[in-house]
Amino acid sequence: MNLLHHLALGFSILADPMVIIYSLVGVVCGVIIGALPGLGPSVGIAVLLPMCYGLSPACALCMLCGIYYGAMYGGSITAILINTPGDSAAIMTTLDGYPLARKGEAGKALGMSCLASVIGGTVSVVLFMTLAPIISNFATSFGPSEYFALMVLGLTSIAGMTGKSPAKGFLAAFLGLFVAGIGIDLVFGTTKFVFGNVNLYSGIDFVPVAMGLFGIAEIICNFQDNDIHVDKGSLKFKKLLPNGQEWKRTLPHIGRGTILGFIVGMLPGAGATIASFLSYDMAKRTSKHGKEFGTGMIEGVAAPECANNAASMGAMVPMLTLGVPGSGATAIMMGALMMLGISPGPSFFVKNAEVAWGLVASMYLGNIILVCIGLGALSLFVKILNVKTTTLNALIFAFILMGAYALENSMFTVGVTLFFGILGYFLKKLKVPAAPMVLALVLGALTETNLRQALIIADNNFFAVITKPISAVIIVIALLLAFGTPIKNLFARLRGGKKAA
Amino acid sequence: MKKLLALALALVMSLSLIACGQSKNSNTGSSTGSSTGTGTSTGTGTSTGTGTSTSTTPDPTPAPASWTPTKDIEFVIPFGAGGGNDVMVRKLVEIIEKNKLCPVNIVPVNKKGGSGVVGYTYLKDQGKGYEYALASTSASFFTQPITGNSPFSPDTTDFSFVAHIVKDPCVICATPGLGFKTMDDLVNYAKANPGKLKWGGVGSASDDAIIMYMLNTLANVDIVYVPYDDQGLLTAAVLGGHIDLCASSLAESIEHMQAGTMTAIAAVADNRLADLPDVPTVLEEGYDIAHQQNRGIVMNPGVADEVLAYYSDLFEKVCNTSEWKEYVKTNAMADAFMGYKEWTEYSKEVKDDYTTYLAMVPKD
Amino acid sequence: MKLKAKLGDLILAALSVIGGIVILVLNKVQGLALVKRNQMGPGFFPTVCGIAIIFFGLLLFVEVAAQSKKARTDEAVRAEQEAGILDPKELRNLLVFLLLGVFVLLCSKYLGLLLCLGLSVIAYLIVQGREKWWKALIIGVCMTAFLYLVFVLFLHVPVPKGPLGF
Repeated sequence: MNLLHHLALGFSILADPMVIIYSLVGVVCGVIIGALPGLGPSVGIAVLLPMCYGLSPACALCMLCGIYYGAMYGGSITAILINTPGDSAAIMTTLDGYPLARKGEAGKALGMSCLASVIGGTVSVVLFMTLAPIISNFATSFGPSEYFALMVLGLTSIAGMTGKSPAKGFLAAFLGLFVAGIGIDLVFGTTKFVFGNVNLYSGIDFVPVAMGLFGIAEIICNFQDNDIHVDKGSLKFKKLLPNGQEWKRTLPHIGRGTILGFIVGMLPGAGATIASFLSYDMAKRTSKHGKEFGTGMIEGVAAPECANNAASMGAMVPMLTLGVPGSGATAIMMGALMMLGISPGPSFFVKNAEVAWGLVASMYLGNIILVCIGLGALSLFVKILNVKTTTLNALIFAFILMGAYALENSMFTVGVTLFFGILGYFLKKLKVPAAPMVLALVLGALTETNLRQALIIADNNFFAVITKPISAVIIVIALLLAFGTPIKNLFARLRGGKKAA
Repeated sequence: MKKLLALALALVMSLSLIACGQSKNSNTGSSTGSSTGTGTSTGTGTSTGTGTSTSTTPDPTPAPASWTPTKDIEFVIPFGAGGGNDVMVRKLVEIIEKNKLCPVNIVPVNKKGGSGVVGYTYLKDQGKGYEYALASTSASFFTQPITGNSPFSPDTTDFSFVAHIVKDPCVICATPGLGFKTMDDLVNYAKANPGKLKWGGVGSASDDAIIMYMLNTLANVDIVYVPYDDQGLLTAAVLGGHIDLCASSLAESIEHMQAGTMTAIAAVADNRLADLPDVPTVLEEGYDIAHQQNRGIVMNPGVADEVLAYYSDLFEKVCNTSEWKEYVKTNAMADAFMGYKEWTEYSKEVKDDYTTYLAMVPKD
Repeated sequence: MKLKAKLGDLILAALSVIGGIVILVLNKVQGLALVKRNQMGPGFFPTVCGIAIIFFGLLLFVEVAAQSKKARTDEAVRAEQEAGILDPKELRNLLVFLLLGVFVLLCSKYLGLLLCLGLSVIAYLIVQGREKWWKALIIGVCMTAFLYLVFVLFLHVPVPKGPLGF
C-alpha cells in the first residue's frame, strides 16, 4: 500500500539518533515556553529558529514540530495550576482544570490534559496522513461569509457560559466585543476609540486581557493558606492516570473533540483557540454532567485539550498542501521551512515526499515524547502547589507581568494585564463571568472583519451572505444550539399541558 | 532522594536552557573577538573606518571621516516576528555576523504595533542623533503618515536615511475560475461588469490597494477593494474563488502561480521576473504601473555624516555578498541598493509618489 | 465596610447603562459613522455594543427586582442577596498588588524591569506574607534570577535595563 510505503520512508528518517534528540529538545523547550504566561508556540518557534540554521532539514523539522506540540501542552500546565492560561488555546482548560486543582486533584487534571492532548495529536496525525492531499480543497472553500457563520456559531457558545445570570454574562460578552473593536478600522483606516494612544492602534490583544482576568484576579482573591493541599498519596503514578470510569466518561468527548478540532484547525485563521471553545461547548451539551462544567469536571479538561492539539495538526494541512498558514504558529513554521529551502504548496507532497513523510513521522515521535515527559514531570509540577499561598502569589505576580512584557516587548501590555486584573477582581466579586468576555474579545474582531468583507463581496446583500450553502448550514446549527433547548422545553410543556388536559 | 532527583532534573534543564541561549550569543560574541584579532581597532580612528577585513569584496568608496561603533546596536523591526520585514532584517544581521562585518553585536528587536508607529516611537525615544539604533522601513513608513495615522513624517525632519536595500515587486493574480489570461481580459471584463470584480489586499492603504486604484484610474474601470488583515486568509480566499484578484508577492504565491491554482496575469515591476519569464510586466501590457514596495533603513534625525556613511558602507557590503544575492533571488526581490545620500533623495520621490497614489484612494 | 450583593448588582446595572451611553456618545464625538460609502461603517459595531450594554444593564435591574421578589418568600435567595461581597482582607491584598503594579509600570524605565519585579516580590512577601526580611530577600533574588535566565538569556527578550545592568 502506498501509504505504508510512505510511512516507512518517513520513519527511516527517524533512524538518525540526532533527530530524536532534537525532537526531545524541541518538546522540552516547547513545554517550558508554552507554560510561560502569554507565550505560545509562535514565540517558541521564532526563538529556536536560529538554532536550525546549521541543521539538516529532518532534525530542524522534528525540533520545530516538537516545539509546536510541547507548547500546546505547556499552556495547560499553568492554566490548571494557577488559572493563568499559557496561551490562547488553554483558556478553556482553566474553566475546569483550575477547580480540579483547587480540589486537590491537580495531578489528575494534568494527567488527563497530557493524555487527551496526545490522543488528539496522534489521531489527527493519522487523519492528516490519510486525508491531507484530498481535503486541501476544504480549507479554501471557506470565504468570509462562511467564516462569519462559524464565528456566529462560536458566539452562541457564550450563551452556555453565562452562569446563573444571563444579563451579567451578556454584559461581559458585549464589553468584550466592544474592546475587540478598539483600534484602526480595517476598511476605512480611521482610528476607533484610540484617542491618540499609539499603543492602541493595533487594538487590545486578548492574551494580556486573559492573563489579567484569570490570573491576576485569582491571586488577588487567594491569599488564604487553606484550600490547595496536595497530599503525597495522590501523587502516586497510578493515581495520576484517570481510572476506568473516568475513561468511559471522557473517551467519547475526546473522540468528538479531536475530529472537531482537526476540521476547525484546517480553516486558516480559525485555529486552536476556536477549536477548544467549540469542543468545550460540545462536551458541555452532550455530557451527562453538563450542568456541573466549571466546577471541575474531567471532561471539561479533556475536550478542549484534545481539540487544540488536533487543531494544531489540522492547521498543518493548508500550510503544507496550499502554502497557506492555518495559524500564527504555522505561519512562522512556514517561514522556517522556506528558510530550509522547502516551499510548501500544491506540489509539496510530490516534490518533497521524503521531507513530508518525515514530518508526519516526527509528529508521532513528538507525541510519544510528550507523553513521557508530560507524565514523568507531573509530580514535579504539582508540587508547585504546595508552596505557601502568599509566596506563590508574589511569584505568580512577577511571572505574569514578565510574560505580559515579553509578549510584545512593551510595558503597555503589562499595564493592560494589570488593568484587567483589577477589573477581573471586581467582576468576580459581582459574579460576572469572565469567560464570555474573553471569548467575545477573541471572536469579536474576527466576526466584524469577516462580516464586513462578506458584505463588500456580496455588494451589501446580507441575505446572500447567509444563504451561501456552507454558511447557511452553519448558521442553522448555531440557531439550533442557541434556541434548541428553550424550544424543546416549550414543546415539552405544551405536550405536558395536552396530557394534563 | 526524590527531592534530590527533582532538583537535579531542574538543574540539568536550566543548564541546557542557558546553553541554548549562549550558543546564539557565542555566534555574535565571536565577531567581536575575531575582529580585534585581525588587527583592526575599535574606536580609534583608522582610515578604513569599518574595522573588518574578512569580507570578500574590497571596499570601493572610502568613508568620509572615521567612525566605528563601540557598543551594541539595536536594529528595530517595527513589525511582528516572521513577517517579510522581520525575515529580511534578520537575514541582514545573520550575514553581518557570519562574515564578521561589524565589530559589535547588532541585535534585532521587534516592536510591533500601529503598522510601524510603535517601532518608530521607540526609535525616537533614544534621542536625536543617537547612533546605536536603526529601524527598517516598508510601505507603511510612507503611507501611515499620509493617512494621518502616524505622528512622524517620512522625511529628514523626523528621520535620517541610511540605506535602501531592495524593492519588492508583486504580481497581479486572478483566481483561475475566471479564465483571465492577460491584462486585456481583465480590463475588458471589468469594463463590461463595473463593480463586480473583487480585489483583495492587506490593509486599506497599502501597496495592494494602491495598485488597484491606479488600475481603476488608468483603465477607467471599477474594481472593488476588499481589505484583509491576514495574507494567508487572502491567499486562501483567492484559491477558493471568493476573491477574484490580488497583487501577490512571489514569495507568497509562486507555487500556486506555477501550479496554475492562481493565474499570474502581469508583474508589477520594471522588468520581467526571472522566475516567471512568461509573465509580461504591466508596463508591457500598456499600463503605467510599476510601483513596488521599498525596503530601507532609517535612523533618528540629526545623525552625523560619518555615522551614516559607516552604516551605509556596512549594508552595501552585505548586499554584495553571495548569500544576500541568493536570498534576494529566492524571494524574487529586486536588488536595488542605495547609499545614504541616494536614499535620502529617493525617499522624497517615494513620498511624493505615495501622496499622489493615496489621493486616489477614496475618502469620505 | 459591608456591601450587599443586591446593592452591588444594582451599582453594576447602573454603571452598565451609563457605560453604554458613554460609548454611544464617544462614538458620536469621534465621528464614527454607522454607514459609510454604502458599507457598514466603523461606528456600526461599537453602536451595537453600546446599545446592547444599555439593554443588558436594564435587564439586570429587572433580574434584581425579580430576585428581590423571590427573596421575600425564599430564605436561601434572601441570604444570597444580603451577603456581603467585599472582604477587607481581600481589598488590602488588592491595594498591595495595585501599588506594586503601578510601581513596576512607572519605575521599570529607570530601575529595569527585572529589578522592579524582584523588589515587588520582596515587598509583597514582607507586607502580605509576613516573612522575615532575609527569607523574602532570598526568594526575591531567586525569582529575579529565574526570570533573567528564562526570559533574557533563553528568550532574548529585550527588557528595560536599569542601573545594575539588568
